[in-house]
Amino acid sequence: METILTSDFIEDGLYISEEKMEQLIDTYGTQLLRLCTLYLKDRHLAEDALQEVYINVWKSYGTFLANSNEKTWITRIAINVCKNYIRRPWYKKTQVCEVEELLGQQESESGRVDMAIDMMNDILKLKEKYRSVILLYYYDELSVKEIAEVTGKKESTVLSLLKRGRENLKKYME
Amino acid sequence: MRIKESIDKAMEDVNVDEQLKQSILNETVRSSKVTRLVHRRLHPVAAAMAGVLLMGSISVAAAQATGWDQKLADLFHVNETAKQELVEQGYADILQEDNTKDVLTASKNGITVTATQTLGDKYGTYIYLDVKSENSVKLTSDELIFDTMKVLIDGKESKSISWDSGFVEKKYAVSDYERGYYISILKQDGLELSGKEITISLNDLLGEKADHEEYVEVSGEWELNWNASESDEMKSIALNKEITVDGKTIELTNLEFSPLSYNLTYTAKAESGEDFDHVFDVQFIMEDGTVYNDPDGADEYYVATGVCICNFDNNEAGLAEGKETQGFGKVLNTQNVKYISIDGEIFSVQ
Repeated sequence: METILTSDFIEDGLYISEEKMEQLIDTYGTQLLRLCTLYLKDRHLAEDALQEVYINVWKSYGTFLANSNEKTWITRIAINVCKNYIRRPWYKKTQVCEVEELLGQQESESGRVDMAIDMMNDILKLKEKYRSVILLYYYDELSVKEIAEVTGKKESTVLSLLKRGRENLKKYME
Repeated sequence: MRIKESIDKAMEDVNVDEQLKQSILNETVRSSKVTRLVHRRLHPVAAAMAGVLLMGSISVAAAQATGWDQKLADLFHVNETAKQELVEQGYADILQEDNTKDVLTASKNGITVTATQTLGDKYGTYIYLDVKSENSVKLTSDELIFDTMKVLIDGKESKSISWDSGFVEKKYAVSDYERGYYISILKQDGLELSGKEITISLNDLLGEKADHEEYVEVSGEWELNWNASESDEMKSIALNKEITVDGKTIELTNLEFSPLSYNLTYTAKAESGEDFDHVFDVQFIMEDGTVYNDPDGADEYYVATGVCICNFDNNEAGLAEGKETQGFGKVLNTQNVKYISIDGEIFSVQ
């Protein structure tokens, strides 16, 4: 496959312009931060992860294929950064597991948000491999094919993980 | 309401504010530092979680296993037998305070930093420091971290290393006024430290206010140095197996491992510098059936030191070469490894 370079490179052809980087942050930043927060179960760590995501984006945008899906590409970077964080020795295996604590809120303002918090609490309790697929499917709203691309898993594996993940969240999916 | 909308509503306070945005821009497009592999300061909370260790340097005299820092042993799940073996094999060094050439303790403004022990192999050097406070500053806060740190090799900075650092988890603290601090170094480019002088320089102990603004809790500079020696002995297995990852044909070529880390190498047809951020699922299956490494990354048997070098560089044959280096959070008994699984492919260990 021929690599088609985008036009936002500067100087040595490797790094993107500040304007483009700002656009990428404005477009994807908050959703990625929320994804990282739910993935890592740590808000501060998620901010560190987000910075690392954008460092990787900045350094590798030169190899991004113009005909690829930008969102899928950047989400994949985020998932891999989070996965690496979880594999580091300082990652606490008993991370905070209550959304209320994670988000710093005691009470929500409506029943629907209450339900969302209950659901997120259950998502946080899922094993990482289910959690990541569930988040990508229901929160990032990626297709099975895109999730397979993001996670490097086969589509059949993604479907299987989704099925098992859903069983744990059944009451919210019905 | 869709699930996404519900989650977004519940997380409406979690967003990229201007400060975070500017921080990202400062670290990327506004930064001139592009060659460093990793090193970015971790958030103090993350750093404090780091139950890390380090390795690497070894001083001249043969150390006794009885001199192990028990906090370090706890961090790495090292039992008495393994303690002795790691010392004998050269992976662990208990730094000798009676070595007059070494400066293993530095005190400034009531804070004393002592290098107590190292763990190290071909790919990583982990240094464990003991920090004592002799003034009113408690070391219990998760926000504490030394502001800047230099690691010099024979008096010079090296582009072949990158590192993480921070206080170890509070549960491993000796008291409110004594706590471990780790420096985890990744070595690249075949860098060898044996026989070289290692200098660690720490500056200003920082705290963090509730609004995340940092302030200097204790000012000063703490500099330590000693001569390093380390074991670069790794078990090596020729893999020579083609697998498909993300639609790309990858040939797994070799896996090296020691009690402290593994290094996986592979080749592919790819452009030099092309991004390949797949993290291989490497599991070590022991003779008793214990699987060392949970693919979810949440098993206590395996936690990486976290640095993965995943970019391709073309070799002389025109193939792109990749490598992945990870450290163990629990020392591996290399003698008892029966099989290795890499993304589900099983390799027998002779």
